[in-house]
Amino acid sequence: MSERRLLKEYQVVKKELGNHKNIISSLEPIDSDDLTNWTATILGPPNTPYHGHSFDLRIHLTPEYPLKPPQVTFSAYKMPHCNIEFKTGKICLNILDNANWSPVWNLLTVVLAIYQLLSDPVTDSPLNIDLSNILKIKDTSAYYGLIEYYLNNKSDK
Amino acid sequence: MSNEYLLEVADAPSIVQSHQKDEQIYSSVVQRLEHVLTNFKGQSFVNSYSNEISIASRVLYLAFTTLKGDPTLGEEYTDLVYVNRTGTDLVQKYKKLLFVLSYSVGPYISKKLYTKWSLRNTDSHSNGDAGNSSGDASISYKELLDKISSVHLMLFYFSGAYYEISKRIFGLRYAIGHKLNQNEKMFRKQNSNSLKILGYILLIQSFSKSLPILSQCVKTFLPQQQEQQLNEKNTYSSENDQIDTMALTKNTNLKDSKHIELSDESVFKFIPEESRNCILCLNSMVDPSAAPCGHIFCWDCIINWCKERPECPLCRQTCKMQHVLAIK
Repeated sequence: MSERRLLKEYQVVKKELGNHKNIISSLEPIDSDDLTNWTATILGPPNTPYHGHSFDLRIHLTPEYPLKPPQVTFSAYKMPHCNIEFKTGKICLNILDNANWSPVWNLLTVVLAIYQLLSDPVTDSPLNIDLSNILKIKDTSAYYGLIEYYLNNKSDK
Repeated sequence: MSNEYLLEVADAPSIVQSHQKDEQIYSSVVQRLEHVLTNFKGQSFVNSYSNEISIASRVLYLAFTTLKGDPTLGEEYTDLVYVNRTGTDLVQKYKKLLFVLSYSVGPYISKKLYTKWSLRNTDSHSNGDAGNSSGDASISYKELLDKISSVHLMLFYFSGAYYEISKRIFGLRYAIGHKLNQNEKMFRKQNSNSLKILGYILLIQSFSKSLPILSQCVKTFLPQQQEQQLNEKNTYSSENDQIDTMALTKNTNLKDSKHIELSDESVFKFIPEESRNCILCLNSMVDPSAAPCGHIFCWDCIINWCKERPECPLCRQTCKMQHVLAIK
């Protein structure tokens, strides 16, 4: 099931990516012979400190996909966000959890969901405690400021 | 002279009535105990120990009534008192204790012991035999219990004594706690007669149940007949085998040829073009199958997913594997 579906998804992604041009700038397998490892680039949503930046995602698909969720991470030390572990790029998103994943979702919907997460951080399940604490006391300007600081200085890391 | 002062032995209807009343109150005791335990220990504790809780409440109820020497509410309602087998004396305390224990905890312990015993049996035997033998044993255990209780109930309806098996064992009879006048005696007698009819019905039932077994016994005693029977059976079973093999070949044929593939547009024309793809494998459906909620997927896709998690991938309604319907 996995291989056939991935081939189909590859076709669908190629066809539909044009509809999401201002969200996803690329979504493709790293090597077109191996459909289990993908890379994606998403653009920062407008009205957030991420706007104007682009972020790389690595997507790994286990042989159990689509019965098990894909494993998606940001690049390490690149993504300041309250639901993303800064050191590893690990993402805390409920639909990527084994217990909440549904096989009707596909790579495109997963990337769109991660894009959505950028503008809607969830303080209940933080992976970046510091940022989440700031957000919890509703100090949005500090939150945005800190993120901007990280993003603009990321070339140092 | 002493006979005059003896209490009349209780009749079956009043015993049944008192038992019903007791059951009613007992169930409310169970409810209250469960309520208390839910508050202290949480719902999951109550759920996992519901059996033990009901036993504990029975022990509690009987300990505060029978064991203490007071009548239970049901006994008070129908004015019954415990007397010994001959009806000449009250019942000793140790007998009451034994009755309370055996009545409430007895079935539970015997069941536990039995399962342990059968488990050990299956351990000691080799795998193939063990399954069979334990299966047989468990059936016979259940049957035995059924037999004993039905015989016991029959005896109760005829004689009007000992409604519970443990009361029969420890000799706790009921007597009516007041003197009866002529009218009441007549009335009670009539009532017990109608219960006797129940007894007859039970007798007929158990007799008809044992008829096949009896006939089998008769057959084993008549060897000639048995041989004939065997021959008949053999021809019958060989016929059966033939049919079986035929059915099997038919089935395999089915398996080879008949996949319903929606890529073929002539199949299931009522499914519109945009719904002919399975959302799980993204290809056109093979053997379309409906979850209980009505969503349709390939048979293989939805069954594989149900092994992962029993819910519909689209709407998350529960969808157990056995509830998936193949559309034919």
